[in-house]
Amino acid sequence: MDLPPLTLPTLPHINLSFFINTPVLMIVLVLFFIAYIIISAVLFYHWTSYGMRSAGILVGETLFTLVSVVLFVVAGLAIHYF
Amino acid sequence: MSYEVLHLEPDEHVILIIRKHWIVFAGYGITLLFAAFLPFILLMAVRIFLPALLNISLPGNNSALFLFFYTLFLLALWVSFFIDWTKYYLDVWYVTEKRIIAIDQKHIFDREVSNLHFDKIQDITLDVHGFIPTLLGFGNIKVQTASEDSREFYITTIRHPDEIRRVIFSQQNKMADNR
Repeated sequence: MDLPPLTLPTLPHINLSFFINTPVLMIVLVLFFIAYIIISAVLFYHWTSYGMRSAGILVGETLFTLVSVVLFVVAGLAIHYF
Repeated sequence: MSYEVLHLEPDEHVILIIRKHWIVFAGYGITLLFAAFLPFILLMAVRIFLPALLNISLPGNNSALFLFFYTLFLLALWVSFFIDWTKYYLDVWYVTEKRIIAIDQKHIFDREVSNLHFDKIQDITLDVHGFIPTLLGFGNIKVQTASEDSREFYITTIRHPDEIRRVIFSQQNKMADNR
């Protein structure tokens, strides 16, 4: 007896443009930015309260802020060119 | 530097700052650096072993989409790096003419400050164990106090532990001579 050929059911088509679009990416970026601000506030509190204005802390603060700004700008530009 | 937060006495000065060896922090830094390249490694692996996965069509500019999520990933790593650096940098011992102020920054919200007066120090044990610690000159120091509630203070992976022990003993002797 010949068995019918095995076929897999077709997967439902998912329209990804519903999940991945500019407003959704903007919301992700804003949520990420809020989390970043909270953690940064904690770090800056520690650096200001216990860092004793040392040179190492000043270098750390500057590096942290500059690189973060660059990365946020790149993320914003990525949304613009999406 | 401003030492107001240490509440030093008027005639007291910080003569030595003891911090862990950079190698402790470098290990975490290298791990994060590897993590930063992980998306590219995964992408290569998918391209080789599961190329069908790359046929999924995504809306918009795929490169921009990848760059967006990769930038957020890098930001998360960057923040994580500074959380660890803060723990490393604020975990420190200050040696003054009268005492050791031991600050133990265990986690970002877990900080313990202890004072060890030189007249209470009973013994200092140093331990340089292994090839790399010997090569790079770092080890552990244990300070035992002779007070009623005899305590032990540890700081691990510090630079030049023998030099630090020498400075502490020298200050202890100076204090004993002045009495």
